[in-house]
Amino acid sequence: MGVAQFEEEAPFDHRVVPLAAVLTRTPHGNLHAGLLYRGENGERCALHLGWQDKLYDRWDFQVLWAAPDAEPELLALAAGHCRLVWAEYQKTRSFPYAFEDRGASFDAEGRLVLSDGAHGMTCATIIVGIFHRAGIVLVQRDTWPIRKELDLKFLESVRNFTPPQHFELLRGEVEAGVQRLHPDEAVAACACELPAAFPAVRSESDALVTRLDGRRRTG
Amino acid sequence: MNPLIGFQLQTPTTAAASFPRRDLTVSSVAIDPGDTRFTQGAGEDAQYLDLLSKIIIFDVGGTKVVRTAKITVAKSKEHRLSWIDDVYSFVAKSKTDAAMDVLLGHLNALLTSSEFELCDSALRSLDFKRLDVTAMVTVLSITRPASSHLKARAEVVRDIEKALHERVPERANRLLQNLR
Repeated sequence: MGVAQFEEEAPFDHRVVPLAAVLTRTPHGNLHAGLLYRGENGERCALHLGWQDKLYDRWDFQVLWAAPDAEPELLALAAGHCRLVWAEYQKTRSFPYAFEDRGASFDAEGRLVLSDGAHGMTCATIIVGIFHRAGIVLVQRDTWPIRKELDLKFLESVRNFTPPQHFELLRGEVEAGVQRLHPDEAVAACACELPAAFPAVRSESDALVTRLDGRRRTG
Repeated sequence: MNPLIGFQLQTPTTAAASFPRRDLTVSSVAIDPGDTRFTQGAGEDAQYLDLLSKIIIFDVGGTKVVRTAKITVAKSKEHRLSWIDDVYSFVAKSKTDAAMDVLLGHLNALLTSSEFELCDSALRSLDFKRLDVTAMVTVLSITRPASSHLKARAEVVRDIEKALHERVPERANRLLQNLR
């Protein structure tokens, strides 16, 4: 199994671990996840989807990272896919944010491919999608519960900066019973035996968030 | 020499240029009228040459002048696959990520433009003895979504399976698990 570690205790080094998922609590109070890897010029990058058409390759938050127990060559390959996805985004500046991804993945050019009924990805599902592209299956998505109340509460927290049409799309997904993967769960899955089922991931997620929030209070 | 991409300058002069390339710096290039320069491959070297030809700086009577050069792109299948030499070169230098990026970039380009026959040719011409493990899993990963279009892929999968079982027998199955 992988291990989750704070940057201060175990600095992320792409020469040792080519790719890791990273978790933080943003200044707005929500949990957020991304992927740490080496960029084209050797620089440290972090691919993370902030919101609709807001993909970034820099991470200015606290770093709690976890790498799955996968072969290093596959992690390096996933990092290569991160570079492709970022390069594609540089051209289009477009990336749909939505809860319903239906196992979406990326094509050969790093473009998001959505099947019928899928609308986009989140900061959590982009992690799953990129690992999947490199042959690493992080989670058993069919074990994920529908958490309508929790997801509607999350939606209310983002209502102010979400255009009405986009908000309605997301609310429609929640009302339809989407099995939303939360950011802490995508990172916690990396510290579980793969492919991870919901109960194990949720338990690991709770432990991770406790560590993260404990560090914020004392740090 | 593999003349894949070259540049031909229009003006007799001496060019001086330096570029922010990690492992290759050109400090000065002497160029004669009609002189044509070629690159060994279509990967990073070719991109570098392309850049060079676009922003080359001429020193004309003490004045720096920027000129562009004519780009020549070879069209034959063999030339279009010479980027594979770049992959071998990077692998030999243990530049794993660079080799992977060349593979991803070129195989992607072939697949997204539906050049499946050329992609098959690329797959058939790969010498797995000259690839490292990362390059091999990269080939499997990038071609997997297009496997129904690629006649050569099944054989490549078998070859890579064999190569991985010989090189990393204890890890081969984990590597191949979701990439076949």
